[in-house]
Amino acid sequence: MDLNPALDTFVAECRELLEQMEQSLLALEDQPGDRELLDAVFRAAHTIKGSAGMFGFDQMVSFTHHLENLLDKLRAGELPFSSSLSALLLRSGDHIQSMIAPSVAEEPLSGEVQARGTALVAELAAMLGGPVAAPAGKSASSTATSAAPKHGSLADDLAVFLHSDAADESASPITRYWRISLQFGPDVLRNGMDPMSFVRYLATLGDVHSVATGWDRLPPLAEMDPESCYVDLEIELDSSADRTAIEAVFDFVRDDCVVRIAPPTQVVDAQLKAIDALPESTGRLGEVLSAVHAVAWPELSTALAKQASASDERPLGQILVEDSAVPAAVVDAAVERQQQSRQAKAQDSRLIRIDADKLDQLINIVGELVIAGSGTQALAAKAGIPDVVESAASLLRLVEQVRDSALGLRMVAIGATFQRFQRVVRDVSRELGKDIELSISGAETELDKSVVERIGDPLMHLVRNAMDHGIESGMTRVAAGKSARAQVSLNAYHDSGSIVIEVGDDGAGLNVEKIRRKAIERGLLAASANPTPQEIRQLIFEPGFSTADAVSNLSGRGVGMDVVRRSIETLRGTIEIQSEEGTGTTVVIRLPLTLAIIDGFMVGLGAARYVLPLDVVVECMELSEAHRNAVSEQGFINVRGEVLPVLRLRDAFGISEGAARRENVVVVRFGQIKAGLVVDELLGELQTVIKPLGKLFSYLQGISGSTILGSGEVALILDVPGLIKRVEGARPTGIVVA
Amino acid sequence: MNITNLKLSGELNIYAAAETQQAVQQALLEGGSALSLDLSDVSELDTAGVQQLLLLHRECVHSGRPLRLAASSPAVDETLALLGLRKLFQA
Amino acid sequence: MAKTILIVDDSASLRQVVAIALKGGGYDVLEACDGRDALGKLSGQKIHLIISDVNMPNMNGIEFVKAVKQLPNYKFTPIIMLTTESQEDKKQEGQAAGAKAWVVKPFKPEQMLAAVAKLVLP
Repeated sequence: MDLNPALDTFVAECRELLEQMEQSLLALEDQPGDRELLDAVFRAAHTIKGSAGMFGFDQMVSFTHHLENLLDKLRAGELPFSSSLSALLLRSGDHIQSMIAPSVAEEPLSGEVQARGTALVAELAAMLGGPVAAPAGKSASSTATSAAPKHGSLADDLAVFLHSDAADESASPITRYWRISLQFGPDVLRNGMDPMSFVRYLATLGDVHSVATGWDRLPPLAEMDPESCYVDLEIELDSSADRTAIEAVFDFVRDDCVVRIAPPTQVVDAQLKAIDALPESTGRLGEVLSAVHAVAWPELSTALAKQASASDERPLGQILVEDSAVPAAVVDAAVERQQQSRQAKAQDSRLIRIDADKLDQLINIVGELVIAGSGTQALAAKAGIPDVVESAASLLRLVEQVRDSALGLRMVAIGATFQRFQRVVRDVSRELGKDIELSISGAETELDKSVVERIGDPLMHLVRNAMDHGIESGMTRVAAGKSARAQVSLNAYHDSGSIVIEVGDDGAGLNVEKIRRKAIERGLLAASANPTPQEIRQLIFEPGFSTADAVSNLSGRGVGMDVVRRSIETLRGTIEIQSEEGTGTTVVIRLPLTLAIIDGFMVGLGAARYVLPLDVVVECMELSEAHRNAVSEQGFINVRGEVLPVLRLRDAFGISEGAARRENVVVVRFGQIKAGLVVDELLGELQTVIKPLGKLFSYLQGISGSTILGSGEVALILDVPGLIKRVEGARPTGIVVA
Repeated sequence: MNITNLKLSGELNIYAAAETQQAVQQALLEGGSALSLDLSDVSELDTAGVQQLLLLHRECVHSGRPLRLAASSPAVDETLALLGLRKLFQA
Repeated sequence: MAKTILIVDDSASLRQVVAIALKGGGYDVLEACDGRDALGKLSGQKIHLIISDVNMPNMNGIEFVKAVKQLPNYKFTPIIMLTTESQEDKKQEGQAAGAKAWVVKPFKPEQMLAAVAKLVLP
C-alpha cells in the first residue's frame, strides 16, 4: 500500500513515546515512587494502544493492552517497582518497537517476534500475579479496540474489550460503528453546554453502542477549576446517518472541542466505491471528498483555513486525516482520483479527433506519392545523372518518412480491444460455472485501425472456445493437480513486420488422437495417412470439424474455427494452433501491420511483374542446375542441409511463354514455414500502395492485390501465405536428399 | 478503621461545582482510611458534577484509600451509565 | 419535569411559532419581548435554555447576553442567538460574550427544534 501521511505521524509518535517511556523507566530506577514518571510511562503505553487501535493494528493493541494493565497498577501504587520489573518493561518497549514496521507495512509478524510477544505476555501476567483476561483483537477480522479513549481511563473501555471479545462475530462489531472522539475545551461548561447532551443527541441518530470517558486531563486538586471542562469522550455510534448529519451535532462546540469522526468500515467502502464512480470532471481534493460525503463542509472549511495559514504546513489531506479522522484510505483514493482526472484532462488536450475518411484519403495520396517517387527514382537511374539520382533518392527517403507517419496515424493500440474481453470472460465463466481469469499482455501493441476493427469477432470466438472447450471444469482441474482457477490469456507483440496475437488457455489441450479419429470420420484425413501431430491439430480449422461432445451454446457447431481462419486470411494473416495435452492451448495469429502500403520485392515471370512483401523474403539465390532437377522431380531442394519445399510460380500461374534460361529462387517465410518460390528475374525492392483486387478477382488464389509501378505497369501482389499453403499441400511422398 | 463519610445532595451541577469541590476537599483532608460516598439525595448530576466525582475517585486512588459509593440516586445512575462510568464507581 | 426555555424576541409571531414548535417538542416555553422583559423573568425559576434575538430595541442581544452572564443563577445557562445571515460580526460578538449557539433567521421550526435538542433534550 501507499505510504499514508497519518501512518508517518503514528510511527514518529510511537518512537517518541517509546523513547519517553524508556527514559522514564530509567529515571524511575533512581526515584521509584515518582508519580509523574509513573504517569508518563502509563500514558505512553496508553496512547500507543489508542492510536494503534485506530489503525487496526490488532497485535500491537493486544500486546500494549497487557502492558498498560500492568502500568496502571504500577502507577496506582498497587505494584512495587523493582529492577526486574523495569527490565521487563524495557523489553516490552523494544517488542512494541519491533511491531511497528511490519504493522505499518501490513505484513505478518515473523515467527520470532510472535514468539517473543507470547513470552513477554506470560511474564507480564506473572508479574500481575495471575493469568490476564484476554484482551481484544483475537477475532480474526476485528480492527480492535479503537473505542479506547485516547487519554487515561480504565472505565468501561475494559468492558468494551471484553464485550467485543465475547461477541466474536464475523463482522467485527467495532467497525460497524462510527467512532466519535471528542476532546472538550475548558470553556464548554461555562458556555452552557454539557458533553452529556451531545451523547443524548447522538442517541437520536442511532444506537450509542458505547461511551468511554477520559479524564486524564483532570488537573491536580490544587489546580482544579470546578467550572472548567477537562474530559474527553469516545463514542461508538451505530447509525445510518451520513457524516454531515453526525458532524452537525457538534455545530455549537466546534470552537470548544476537537471532534474526530471515524466512519464504520461499510461507510468507508461505500465512499471508496463512490470515488471510483465519480465522473472525471470532479476537481479538487475537497470537492471529491465532499461529493462522497467523506467530509462535512464545516470540517473542510476549517481544514482549508488551516492549510491556508502560514503556521500549518500540512497538505489538506493530512489535515483532514489527522484532525478530523477522515479515513486515510478515503483521502488516498480521492487524491488518486483527482490525479487521474488531471491526467485525463491533460491527455485530452493533446488529442485531436480525426475523421477516418480524411485519414484514408491522406494515406491514399501518400501512396500515390510513394509510387510517383519510385517512378522518379527509376527514371533518374535510367538517365544516369548522379545529382538527379541522389536527389531522387533523398526525395524518396522523405516520402518514406511521410508514409510511415501517415500509417502511424492509423495505428491503434490493441489494448482497448483486449479490455473488452474482461467483461466477456467474467460473464461467460459465470455462465459456464468455471473459475476463469483473463490476463492481458502487450496491450500497447499497435496495429492498423482497420485490422483492429476486424479482429474482434475472430478473437471473441477463440476466447469463448478456449473457455468452453479448452478449459476443464474446476473439479477436473483439481483432480489433475492444476489450480482450480483457470487462465485465459491475450497477448500481442510485433515480430519481423507482423503483429502476433495469441489467445492462450491453461486447459486440457488438444487431444491429437481424438482429432485424428474425427478427421478420418469426416473424411478430412485418409486412414492410411501419417501426418505429424501439428498437422493433425491444424485440422481443427477445416470446415465441418468439431470434437465437442456436447455442442454448446457458445461455440458449438463446428462452424467456428474455419470461419475464424477465413477472417484471418482475409486480413492477409495466418492462424496456427499450438497445444500440449494436459497443459493448454495457444492459438497464434499473425497479421501484417498494415493493409495499405507495402515494402515489396519485385520479381519477374516472363513479361509479368509480381511483388512480394519484403518482410517475408528471407533470401534469394540462383537456381542451380542440380536444384532444377530436384525441383521438377521432388518439389524441394536442399539448402545448406535444410529441406526447402519449392513452388515454381510459372507452373502455379500457368505461364508458359518467355521461359528464361536462368531462374531464381526467392526463399520466403511466414511464421514457422519456409518455402522457395521459383521465378525468372529478381527485380529489387520498392514501396508501393496496395490496391485491393476487385470482387471479380477475389477468387484468385495466390494473389492478394495489385499495384501500379512507377512505369505505369500493373504488378500483382503475391499472397505468400496462400502460396505457401499450396506448397505444403503438395507434399513429397518420398524423401531423397539431392 | 475510620471511614470518612461524604454526603452530597441536591443539584450536583456546574452552579454547585465550586461548593462541591470544597466538600470533596474537606472530606479528603479528614484523612480517613476509606471513603464512603452517599449520593442518594442527588437530584441532578451534570458533567461538572461528574468531574467532581472523578476528582474524588482519583485522589482516593492516589492516596490509597478505597472509595465506595454507598448510596446512589436515579439521576446519578443514569449519568454514570451515559458516560460509561458505572464500573468505575461500582462497589 | 419538562425543561423550560425562554424565548426573547421583539416579534410576537416569531415567539409564537417558536413556542408552538418547542411545546410540540415537549418543552415548556416562557416568552419575553426584549432584554429587560427577559431579565425580569430570570428571577428564580429554573431556565434550561435561552433563545435570544440579537437585534432588539431597548437592550440589544449582546448586552442581554452579557447581563445574563452576570446573574449567579443563570450564568451557565446555554444561550442560542438568533441572527440574520449578514450579521457575522454580531454572531462573533455573541460568541465572544459566551453565546456559542446560533440559528440564522429565517429558520424553519424544525431547525430550531434540532438546535435546541443539541443542547438540552426535553
